Amino acid sequence: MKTLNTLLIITLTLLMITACSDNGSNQKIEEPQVATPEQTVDYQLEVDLDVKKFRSYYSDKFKNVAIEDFKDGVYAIDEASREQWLEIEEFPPYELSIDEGLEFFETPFANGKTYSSCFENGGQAVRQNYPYFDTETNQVITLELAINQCREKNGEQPLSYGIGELAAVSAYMANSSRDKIFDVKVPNEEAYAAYIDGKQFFYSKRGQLNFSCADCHLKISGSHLRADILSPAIGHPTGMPVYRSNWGELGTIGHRYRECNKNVRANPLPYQSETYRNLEYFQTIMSNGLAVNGPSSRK
Amino acid sequence: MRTLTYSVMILVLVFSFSSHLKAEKSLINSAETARLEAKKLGFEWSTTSALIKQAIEALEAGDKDKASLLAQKALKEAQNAIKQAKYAEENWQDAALK
Amino acid sequence: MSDTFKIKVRAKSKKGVVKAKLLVKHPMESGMRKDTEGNLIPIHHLKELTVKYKDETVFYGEFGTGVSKDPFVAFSFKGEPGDSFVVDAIDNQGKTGKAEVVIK
Repeated sequence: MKTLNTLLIITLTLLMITACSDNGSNQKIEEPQVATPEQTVDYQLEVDLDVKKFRSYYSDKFKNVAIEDFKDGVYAIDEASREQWLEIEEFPPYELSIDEGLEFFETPFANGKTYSSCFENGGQAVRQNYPYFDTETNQVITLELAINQCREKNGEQPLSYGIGELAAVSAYMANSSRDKIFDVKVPNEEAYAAYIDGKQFFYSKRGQLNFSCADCHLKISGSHLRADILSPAIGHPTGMPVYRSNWGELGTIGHRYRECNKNVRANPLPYQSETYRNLEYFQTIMSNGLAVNGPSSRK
Repeated sequence: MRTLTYSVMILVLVFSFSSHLKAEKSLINSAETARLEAKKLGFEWSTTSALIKQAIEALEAGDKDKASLLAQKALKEAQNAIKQAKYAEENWQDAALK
Repeated sequence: MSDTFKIKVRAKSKKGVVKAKLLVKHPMESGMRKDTEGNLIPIHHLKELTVKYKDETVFYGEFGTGVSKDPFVAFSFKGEPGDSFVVDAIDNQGKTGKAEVVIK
């Protein structure tokens, strides 16, 4: 009995000693102050990596197509339709729109100014700079939006975005920028957010038919959808605005976005909505390095 | 503008019809609410508002069953659109190039 | 509304044969389409197009509602660079289009 008691006391004492020494080791040691470097994300780098992946995907998929030729859309990947298109290009239907666009561009507003007063270089050879992220108003500015902003700034009524006069002005401006290379930048965090928003739209399935832009124009691009061949997404914005035989007239990229959304039975968003502008921003960045070849004609 | 028109239509419907059409009215209401939710998310299907319009017309013509069927179809569409929106929000990255 | 419509022409001569291409700016309304208010858009289409080269008619066409907007016409005839030819067109509303072209 006594041995047991002694043993118990010894065990308890030992425990207490270890507990105390543990407490001792819990004593706070002053760590030397090390400044953690600020996490700066290089947004432009992230985007450039995305562009690289996008280009490789299409180069690998369409091995016989040089990267710069993707600006011709479906005509870069299908020989038969290319032949027909080249014939049409000898005297293209959008020529009339370029002439109209020139007239509109040079006709003064009520206040005497013209469109050239709103743009760099008088609006000549500037198509490749659109869309851009305006760091002051924190939004993507597309060429079409800039055209209407110019009108409103000069006391004129805005024009409708899909077809008609605005499309003709856009065609004229695109034509004056032919062969200039797209190099759209992502200058800051807000721009990157807009880019990601556009990227998200591109990859999200929508509509009753549950298709995303990527489904048709990335995954199964080059395949047939009824009587049409699905064009690769790379190069989509370069030829805008576009004379679609389907429409029988010239329309903007926004017009096509709305049509595409209706095609998958998704209710289209309003012209120049933030989402569509972000989508155009993303799409144009993915086509960086390609040349302006608008206006163009397509089936 | 169209949203306002539809909302007004539904309100008028709710107040102008007798109580024995409560179930159909409520169904149309639910369909419209869901459609607006899908629209807010940016994923409204182009087919839904036409179905709701047809349901209202059927109800006004006294065809309860047709109204109910169309309203249910519209509701299902809008619910699917909302599901689609949520799925996209969570999974779009998987579809992006790696 | 203008009483005239524009005609753009391109003509190239190679080995004595001229290949001419025309683009006529014309709405070519069939008269079957309706506007947003439900009213029929009045019928307005090209009726005749004549091309004369050295007092000879080298092309003559009668157009109807089956031809779509901004008709594109291509044809060939014997001719030399530097010569010119005239295109005359009239539509069902009496509006006219004219172009005088020098062959390249």
